Amino acid sequence: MNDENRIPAHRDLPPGRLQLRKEHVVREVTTWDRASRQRRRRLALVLVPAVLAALAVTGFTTYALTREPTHLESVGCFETAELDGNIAIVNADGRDPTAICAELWRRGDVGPGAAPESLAACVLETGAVGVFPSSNEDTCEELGLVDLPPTYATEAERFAALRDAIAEELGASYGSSERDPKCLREEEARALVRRELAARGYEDWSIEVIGGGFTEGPCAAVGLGFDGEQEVVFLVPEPDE
Amino acid sequence: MEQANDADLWRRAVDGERDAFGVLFERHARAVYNYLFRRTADWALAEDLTSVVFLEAWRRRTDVRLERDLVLPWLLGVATNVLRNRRRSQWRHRAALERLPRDHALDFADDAIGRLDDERQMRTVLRAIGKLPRREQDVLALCAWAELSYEEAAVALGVPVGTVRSRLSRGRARIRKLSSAQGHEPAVPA
Repeated sequence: MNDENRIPAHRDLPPGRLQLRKEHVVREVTTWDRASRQRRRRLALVLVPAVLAALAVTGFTTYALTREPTHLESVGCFETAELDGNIAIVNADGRDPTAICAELWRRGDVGPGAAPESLAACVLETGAVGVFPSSNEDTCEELGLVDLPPTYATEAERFAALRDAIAEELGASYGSSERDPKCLREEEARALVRRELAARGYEDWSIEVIGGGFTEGPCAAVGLGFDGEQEVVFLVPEPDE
Repeated sequence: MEQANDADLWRRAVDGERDAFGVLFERHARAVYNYLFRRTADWALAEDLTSVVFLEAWRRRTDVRLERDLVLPWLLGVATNVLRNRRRSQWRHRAALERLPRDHALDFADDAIGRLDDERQMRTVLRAIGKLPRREQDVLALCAWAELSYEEAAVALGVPVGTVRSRLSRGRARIRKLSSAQGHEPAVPA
């Protein structure tokens, strides 16, 4: 091999740097794990974005007879078969709501007791989906509610696909899925969301920017929220870390 | 713990033993660092990216597939992906990198000239190798520069062993052709 194309020999990291780097990396992963455990616990309790939490909670606290679920973005897991009991609100992900809540029960995120043997999914007044511990087939009726209609599964899957597509386009982490954030200008973010809404039959939905707005720089990482009742996609510009 | 094999250390690290992850870092950081230097021709960048590789390895720890209980091939695979998506990887771990204490007293004044020579030399090599398709560059770097076996390179890249062999063969042939056209010997041993 001629000298020009010689590959330089291996070198050690500069003196002291191996130890410094090692300590740094170990410290970082330890911190991540701690933060991750705390985040999982917190998100399990209210997985909807903070800016939408109040709206979502309101959606789960009143009731009357409604036939069709309209809030496809979240599911409320009730601790007891009562409408004023504790609720863990989580993002819907296209699965059967009883499966979502069963997983939360298993993790101890709904209540301290053992997971119920069976769960019933009902439609609340606001169109939100509530899942209750169930001892018979009439749980929803006994609560003055109706069972989840068979069309829910298709609609929930369709909505989850829309949400995932928008999150992918924006590089927005949503629920348990993490993505690489993109720095977007407001008009870019709006155009991307508009395109996905149109492509998936959600033309009537509107787009609103909430939070601090795109004020801190030419572009921003964007968080997401949805309100199925009002048919709104919320864009939440996130301040840089 | 220093005597434990990689697989055992990795299992213990994933179970939360931070010392085990530290031992893996000490064991493999040098190889990762040199691999990254040979791909970037920049010692300082290689050092930062070494941290990124281990942070990224931790993030993806449940994806680990060890070849003969060795972590290094998988780490070099992570390093190859970090290089391919350098901006994204550095963005993801930027906060962690910013928290790294910067002690300039530790800078390598003694061999600064040698390292500058290395960088100049490596840039020349990379200019030649850069004419190859990216996939062939990856295989050449892993097999010829990092001295992985075909099987280990296959693990690193997540491709079948046959694909490694064919890419390496094509890459070497292309290098020979390019080098002879320029009147040089090849940068990668045939």
